[in-house]
Amino acid sequence: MDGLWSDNPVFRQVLGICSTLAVTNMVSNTLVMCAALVVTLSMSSLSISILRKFTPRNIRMMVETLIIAFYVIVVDIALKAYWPEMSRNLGPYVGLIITNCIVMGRAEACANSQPPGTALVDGFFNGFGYSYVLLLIAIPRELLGLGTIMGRAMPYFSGPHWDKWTIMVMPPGAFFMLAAVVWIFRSIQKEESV
Amino acid sequence: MSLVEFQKKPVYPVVYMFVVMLFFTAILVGLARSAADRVEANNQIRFERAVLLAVGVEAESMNPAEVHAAFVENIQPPTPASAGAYTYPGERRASAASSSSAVPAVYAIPFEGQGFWNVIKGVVGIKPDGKTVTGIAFYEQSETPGLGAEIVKPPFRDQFRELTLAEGPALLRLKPAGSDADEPGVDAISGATQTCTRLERILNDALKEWRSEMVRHHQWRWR
Repeated sequence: MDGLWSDNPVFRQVLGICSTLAVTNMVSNTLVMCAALVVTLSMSSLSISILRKFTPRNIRMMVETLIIAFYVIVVDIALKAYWPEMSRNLGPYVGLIITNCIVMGRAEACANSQPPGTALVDGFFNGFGYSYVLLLIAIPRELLGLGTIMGRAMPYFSGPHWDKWTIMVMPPGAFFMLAAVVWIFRSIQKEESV
Repeated sequence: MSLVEFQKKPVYPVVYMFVVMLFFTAILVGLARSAADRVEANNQIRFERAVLLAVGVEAESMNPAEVHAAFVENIQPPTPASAGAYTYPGERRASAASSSSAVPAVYAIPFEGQGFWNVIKGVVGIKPDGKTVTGIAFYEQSETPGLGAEIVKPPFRDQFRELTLAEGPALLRLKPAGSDADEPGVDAISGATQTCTRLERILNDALKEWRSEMVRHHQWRWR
């Protein structure tokens, strides 16, 4: 369960930053992206762990990439068939889960050497650790930049008195928010260790 | 030979990779095939909804079955006489059906072109006068969520209702912030410069091509 706080993939391990920056301009997209990552991370960690005693060391990364790509494509097909609206919203970002360092990082750090149960739990909690950080970034970005949360207009922020900070839904806004979150959480962790 | 002994052979990694690849790929092919019809149906419904929205039918809240029924009932497929555009007879449907040369109420012109990230596909509706736009809708785009992807939202699309095209080289302008408010066109999306620039070009090209096709091949006159 270290992935939730002490070894959080985003603000401790600094992994998965590309998608953290890309999808967090809208909360609804973030939620679906997080669900897709939790499923992919858990299932690929489980599968890699099951096969760990048969996979030769020198081709383990190719096998890991194949398994990760498999689960990502399953998620992509499921979205296209049963939730086409969200599939369109996420567009290329679902496919980019394959390149998300968290998934490969946990495969190398845990799934390759731990039994399936441990790998599954590790993947699950790392996915959740990624998810709540993304939501903490997405909510202010959408609120300040668009005046909405989950597409629903929020009081004051969607009114005429609030001049929307469009920069918050653009890439610079993502960097600002990510930096703020990393700074705050690491400061809290530093105080805890003192 | 046991598995442990085989794992020591140099050929084992090759065989292993091949077997694993075959296993996972077979599952994916099966899944893709089983979902193919559904994905195709979703794509078709998206296109039909876009055509209905472009001609002014309120199809935003219709479920897929309603969209398809409304499309079949209201929209005529492209013919040589419409230069590739779908047609909406409108409220003159009953009398228009009795006359094969009746002019439709709206022509729905599909368009596509390269957006900022990927292809943008949509439909624009235009009246027989050749210069009044009835609406616009998109059925495929991969622009940035919250920025370029706002083109699919009503605040942007509603600007095209009853829009009069300009006379001149640029029929339609997507005006960036700070432009003259009196200049004909619609407001672009702040922060989505590339998407709007490309969309402006796509729309102008599609409309010009359709209009010149109608004039050149059908001796069409503006009404």
